Amino acid sequence: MRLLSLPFFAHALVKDGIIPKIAARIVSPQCQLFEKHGFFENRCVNDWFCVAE
Amino acid sequence: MKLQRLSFCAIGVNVEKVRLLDEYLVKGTTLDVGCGNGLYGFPILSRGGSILQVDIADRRDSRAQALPFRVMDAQNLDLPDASYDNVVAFDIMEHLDDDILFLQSVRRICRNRLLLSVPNAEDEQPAKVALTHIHHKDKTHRREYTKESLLVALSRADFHPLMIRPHYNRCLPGFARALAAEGMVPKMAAKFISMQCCLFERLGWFENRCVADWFCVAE
Repeated sequence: MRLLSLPFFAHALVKDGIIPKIAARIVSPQCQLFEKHGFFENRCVNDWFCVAE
Repeated sequence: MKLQRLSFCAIGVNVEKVRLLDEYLVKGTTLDVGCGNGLYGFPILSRGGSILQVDIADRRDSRAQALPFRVMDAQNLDLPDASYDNVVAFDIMEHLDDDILFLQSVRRICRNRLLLSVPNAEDEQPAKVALTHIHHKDKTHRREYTKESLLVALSRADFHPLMIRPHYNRCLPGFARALAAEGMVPKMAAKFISMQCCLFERLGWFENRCVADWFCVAE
């Protein structure tokens, strides 16, 4: 299971106010877009889920 | 000698620490406690005066081997009273069993200034995206410091702070680089994101509060 907060790192940098929040909302979708096109890659595996018999 | 107490962080020289030395060292003799790779000996010597480097083991870089050195326990410095004008103690207090005993030992031998660097305990900002400081993974650390806890420790050893300032970790605004896949285009995409973060920081919309270390000068 990957750590899904990583592509949203800009939200950690944001200051109080509407404009800073909009700025973070501009950065994060770009990260998601780059991830969708294979330019960005979230390799941050948080947990391994396993089922065994 | 407890070799497991040696930190994996003891590599290279940090330019911000060199700047701290340039700004605050007074002319005269300097004791470099917990000297590690010993490479801060050169910027210290460039200010004039003499130096003695001490550590629990000699693990100095070959370039620093010519500098005066003694193996010594930092909590029990075997040196005369008021024998050094400056004491430099970068990234050592967090490794010691008793940091107050260390500061009291330094108080006894230090004539003028103590220059310190300690890791920051607080990680509120990186924790927002489930990250933390890399130094939190250093198992040789006995403790880390907030600005307040550092000031309390100094006052218990009768040191009066002249300056205390944060040393920021720039990883968070440049975080897109960690997400980039292999290749030229992904690298350019990461640069594009990082530049936007820097721009928004300059405009005051983003704020890097990710303090890696506290730099402190006390007398």
